[in-house]
Amino acid sequence: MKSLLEWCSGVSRWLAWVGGAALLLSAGLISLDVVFRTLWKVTYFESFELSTYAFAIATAMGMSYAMVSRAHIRIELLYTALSERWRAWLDVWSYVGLSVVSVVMVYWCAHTVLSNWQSGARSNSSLSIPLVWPQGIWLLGLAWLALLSTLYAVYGLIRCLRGRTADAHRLLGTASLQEEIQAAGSGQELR
Amino acid sequence: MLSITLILLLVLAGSSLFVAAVLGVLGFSLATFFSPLPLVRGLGEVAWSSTSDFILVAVPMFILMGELLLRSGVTDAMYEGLDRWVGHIPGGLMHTNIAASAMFAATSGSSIATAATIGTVSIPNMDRYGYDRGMFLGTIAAGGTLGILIPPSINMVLYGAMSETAVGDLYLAALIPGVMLAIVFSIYVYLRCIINPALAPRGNVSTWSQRLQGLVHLLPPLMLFLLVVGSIYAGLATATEASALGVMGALMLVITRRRMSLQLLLRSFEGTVRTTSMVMAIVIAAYFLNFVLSTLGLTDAAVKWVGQLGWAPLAVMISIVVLYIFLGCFVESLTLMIATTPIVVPIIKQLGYSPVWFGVVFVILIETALITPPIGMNLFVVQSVRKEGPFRDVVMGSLPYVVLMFLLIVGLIAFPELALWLPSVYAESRG
Repeated sequence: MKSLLEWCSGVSRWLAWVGGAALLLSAGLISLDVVFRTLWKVTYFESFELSTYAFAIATAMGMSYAMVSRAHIRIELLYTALSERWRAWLDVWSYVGLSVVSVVMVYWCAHTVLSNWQSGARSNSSLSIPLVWPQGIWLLGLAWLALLSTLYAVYGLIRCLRGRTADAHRLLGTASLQEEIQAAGSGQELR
Repeated sequence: MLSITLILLLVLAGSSLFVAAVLGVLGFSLATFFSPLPLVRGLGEVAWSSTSDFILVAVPMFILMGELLLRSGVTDAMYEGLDRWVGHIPGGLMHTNIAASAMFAATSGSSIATAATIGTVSIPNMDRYGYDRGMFLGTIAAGGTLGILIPPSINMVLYGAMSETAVGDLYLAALIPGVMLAIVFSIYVYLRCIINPALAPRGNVSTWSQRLQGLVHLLPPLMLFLLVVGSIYAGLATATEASALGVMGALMLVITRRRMSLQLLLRSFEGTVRTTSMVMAIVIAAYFLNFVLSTLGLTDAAVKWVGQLGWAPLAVMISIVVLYIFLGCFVESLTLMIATTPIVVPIIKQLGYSPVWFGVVFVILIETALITPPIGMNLFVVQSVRKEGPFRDVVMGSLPYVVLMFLLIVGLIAFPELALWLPSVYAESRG
């Protein structure tokens, strides 16, 4: 199971790259639109609409990467006061919570996307894109989060039930500050 | 219903659930138990509209800009350049810390990044030159908080989106208080070091030719600031478009400094998407909770309840300030901001306060939350960059700055023009 989880977090990292590239691309398009509008009073690139899709897709695709890289915030007031064994159980509890919330969210988002698909809804712009395209990719990103958070919760639960709380805590525990600072893009990398 | 909501919130948050999940579960339960309508059906629409909101596109843009900027390596050179201008003032490098934080803040929207970056560059000098540790570390932790006040600021974008206030107005309003706060920090350091010269060694006075050479290193961040903030007020770009210009500017810096590589891009993408999704998870959940709360009439009930107290607006405002300073000690700052904006803004609007003005006060309150123990992210960051020595140094060193921030808030309450003057001048100039 461990190698499965590693493979999944590898996929999540790929999704983050795709999301980041989409954002950079839309920054380029927006800038081009600003330049063209300033100089020639025209907008060619429909960046307003496309960048919102890039944003939605990057956000949804990044949800799982944020999870596996421990970015999502938890209030640790009680947590830090406990022993590692109890922390591991709280880890499992919080992943179960995340799993439930994301599954419910995916269910209702799928509802919205499917009804837009059935009614053939298109964006209200000159591009007139069928909404199911951006929304479909967005939904897949969220579904991946639901799947991965459930896998993590199950893994943690099995480990804890077998008394291997340290394993569970290692995967599900909160980020150390050093990880947090490195992820903020500074620390060692700068030196 | 209000008390059940609060108790549920505390229990869920206390059990270390993910913040986004806490807000989500709270929303589901309230919708299920208290509303005859199937409110949860709105979740899909709320999630899509919040993650595809053009105003919020500025959030990942500013994060990406900061990620690229950090990796372009402009910070070290900027620190040195600034040191030649301010390093000789009594207090030495501590002024450089504050000035560099303010300048870095002017190009990045993140406090953690500001404190970690400036800390990494400056902390090795602390013991080498014999600075008072608490005071030195305090300038970094507190200086780092300027990141969210001086525009561009991610927190301002979030506040603007959630309170339906123009981000451009918020930036203008925060500019004077932001610069003032940096100057007040420096005056404090200066006075302490005049009274007790043992706190800091005297820095070398740089020659004018050295200073002018140092200016070259200040140009990249200054130009980026002008590109992002200037393009808004020249009427060329909206706040979100300006953030995209900023990304392109930072990308140009990376390229011209010959740092461009696939690795650099991928690391920047990871960092950007990671933070964006973390923030947006909370934003989606908060939007949904807010949708439930306002449909149930809880937001109105809270506004009415405050109205029925019959307190003077000033008294309510002071209570709000005190409450946030207290909450800021325990609640992570981003969560505090996103989760409470939809409730507190209707209250202050009813009292007759400007939401633009309150945005500035609010962000300063969030800044205090970053450096008040036991939960103060910037304190942790500075301690961690430092690697050794008692945590107490950082905490005690930062406390005076909490007092200074509080004084600025008092100043803003007494003279709202500090925040509102620039936006009004701008509005007049646009006719």
